[in-house]
Amino acid sequence: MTTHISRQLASESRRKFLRTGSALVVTFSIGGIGEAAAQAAPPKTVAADQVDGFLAIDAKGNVTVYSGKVDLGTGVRTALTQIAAEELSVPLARVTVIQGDTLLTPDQGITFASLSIQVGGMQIRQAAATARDALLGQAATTLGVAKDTLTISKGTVAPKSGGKSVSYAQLVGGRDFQLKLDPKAPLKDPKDYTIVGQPIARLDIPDKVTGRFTYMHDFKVKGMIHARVIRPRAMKATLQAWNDFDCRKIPGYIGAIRKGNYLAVLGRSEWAAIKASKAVETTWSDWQGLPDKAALWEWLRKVRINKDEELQKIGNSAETMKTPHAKIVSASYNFAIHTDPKHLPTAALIADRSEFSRDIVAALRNTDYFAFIGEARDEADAERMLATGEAQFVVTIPADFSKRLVRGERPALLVEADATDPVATGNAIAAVNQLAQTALTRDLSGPLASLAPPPAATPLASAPGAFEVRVHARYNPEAVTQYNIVPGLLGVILTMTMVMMTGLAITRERERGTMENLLATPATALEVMTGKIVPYILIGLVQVSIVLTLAQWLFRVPMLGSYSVLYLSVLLFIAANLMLGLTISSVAQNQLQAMQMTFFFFLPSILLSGFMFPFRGMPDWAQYIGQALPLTHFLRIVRGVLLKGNGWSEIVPEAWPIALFMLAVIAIGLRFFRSTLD
Amino acid sequence: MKLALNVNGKAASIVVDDPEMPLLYALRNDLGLHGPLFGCGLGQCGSCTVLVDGKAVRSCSVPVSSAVGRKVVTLEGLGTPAKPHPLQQAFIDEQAVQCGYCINGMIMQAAALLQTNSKPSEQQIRAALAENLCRCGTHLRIVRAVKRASEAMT
Repeated sequence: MTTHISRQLASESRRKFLRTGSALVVTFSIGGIGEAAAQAAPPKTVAADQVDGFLAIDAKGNVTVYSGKVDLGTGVRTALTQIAAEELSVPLARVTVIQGDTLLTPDQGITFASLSIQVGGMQIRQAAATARDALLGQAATTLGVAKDTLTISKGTVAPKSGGKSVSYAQLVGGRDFQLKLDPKAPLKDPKDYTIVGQPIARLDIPDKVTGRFTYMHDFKVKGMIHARVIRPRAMKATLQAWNDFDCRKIPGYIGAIRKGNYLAVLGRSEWAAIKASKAVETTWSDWQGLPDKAALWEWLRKVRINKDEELQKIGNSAETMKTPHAKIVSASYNFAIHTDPKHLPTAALIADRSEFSRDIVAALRNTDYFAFIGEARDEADAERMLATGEAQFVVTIPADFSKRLVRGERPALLVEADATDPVATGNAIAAVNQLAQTALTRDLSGPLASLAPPPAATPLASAPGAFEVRVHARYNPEAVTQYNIVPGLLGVILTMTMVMMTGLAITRERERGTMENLLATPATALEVMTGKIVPYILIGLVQVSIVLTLAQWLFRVPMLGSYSVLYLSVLLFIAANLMLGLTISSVAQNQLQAMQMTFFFFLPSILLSGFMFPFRGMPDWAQYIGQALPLTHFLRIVRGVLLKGNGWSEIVPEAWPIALFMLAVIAIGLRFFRSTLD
Repeated sequence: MKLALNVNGKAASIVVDDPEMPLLYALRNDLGLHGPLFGCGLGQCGSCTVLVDGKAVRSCSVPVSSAVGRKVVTLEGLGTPAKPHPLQQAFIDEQAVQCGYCINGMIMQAAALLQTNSKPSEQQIRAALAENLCRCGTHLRIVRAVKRASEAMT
């Protein structure tokens, strides 16, 4: 049996002994408190003000120390053993420390902040000192000599001058001390130390180097099941939705627990829980509270200083710098954070955890085309990221990648691109193809060369490429530009016709003088606007149907999504444009002004929406303007529905900005409409 | 699914739901061998290292099915507290352990090294252990322990 486990067994047997056996032991009270109610078979005390809380000496004179502070890898077990052995003057080998067993050990507080020795250790030291003093007193009585003539060595008390001695085992062996811990008990003079301060070999090392040490993770209890906590995908994110449909296919999956933002999956085996943690689907809120990366240092320097602490004062630097020969060394230390707004958002789906995978990802990043935004949890997640446009690329490294690589089988690495707009991804794809030659040169020549089987090891590095890169241009594999342009035209035509038609509507009424008629009716501003809009919506829908028919018949543009999704988004887009048209007409004084305003909106829509230029290729300021335009979002919806087969969940992120735009325009329109009435 | 393994020189049969389950969980949970430890689960820290046919393998990243028909050796299989392997003895002698979480990987990786290079230089030891992470800071003692073991083994 191993040392560690035997210690646990010792505690176990002691516990049993104390429960069942103490009724048989005639209680011997060394502190003179008197006979306790031994019949009640009291459990071992865990009181921190009792010597018995911390110490026990058995019939053989072996010492057990009970410590509420645990060893988190710091080695305090050895140190606490030394402290107790020293104070009691017993050999180190006769002291056993039991840690963190709440049935046996006193509550000494949390193990933290380097307090295990300076606080926890001192309590044990005082308990040992109290015991030592009491044992000396008891020995003096037993031997019939004065206490101060006695000395203790190896757990045996004897007169300094020699003569009859008495051991701890004889004095208290197997019985309780029944003594209050005395914080002022006389401590051993440090100059008499023989154990503390000596280079003692760590007690836990033999177990640790032979796999016998019990770490927290090694505990197993009967009927134990396993769990994994699902972590949020961003700081301060809240859990909005989750489902475990896919988990239910995993053998051994038990279920999930959710409490607020805490979600955990349970499995009969550890592996079932791990698999479930990957299969569970979650939606987390987005938290945007982090400081802007580009201005991080400025942000940090502006953070309010809570406490300005002067640790040491060795002079006045301002004065020193004035002296003629002052050597001035100045440096600014910042954490390096990589940032480049031009990078295309890329997700990784890595089934093979190896140095190879890491280096491939690093090499991709080094091309400057790919910015890794995170890892896809599984294929479905990767698919979603591509569909929503969250990622423009997904890099997949299959599970057996490194295994096959070292066998020299040239495994394939998959790079999927959202090639809806072939222009936007072309250069990046070209860069990917260079990767196979360059990415792993370091790995295959360094220490890892020995990982490869000997015959393949040498040719591997010099081969034309240790692996293959497969690029899937998704959604538009042949890079047909009309697939991108024709759905885009749908949005452009709608923007032009809807805004212009309505833009002229009210201005025309004002010019012709029919506005007074409208004013005379009891209709409210909102009602008038609605009345103006409904016919145009119908016209818009007819236009869309014509464009869609032509797109499919003439240009052979695929339609992968559902018409209901498409038409509903079209409806939203038409409504937004009509509202804008109405607002323009409320603001404009005549038809010419309304026309000019329409173009003022129309031109940026065409130029900055991603219709004419790849959106992510535009400078930041242009992207910001583009984001505000409904056409930008509508293009993404239409291309998504037609080419990617997107459904409701994927289009929502693009739909709400359109709705927001509409509300803003309505708000402005209503204000101006009212003011024109006045 | 029943898998027949050979671990630490003994035949062991385990029943698994999923042959893709990493070897680590079979060793720790099915066979109760706590030498290999879960560190990162990504094959990057080395605390799960075991020997498969004499080669150091990150058991968190290889499927248990890949160990069928091969000889798996864990830290327990190298030696016992009563009869430690020269590497284990050297780690004790050098007191090369703080929390000890990485030590399984350090010893197993070193065991693989000593099989192919019985007299490694300090540089070679450092290179062999470069991908094993330790955060307590016993690196220098670990290198000395491997050196000491290589000397003791000849």
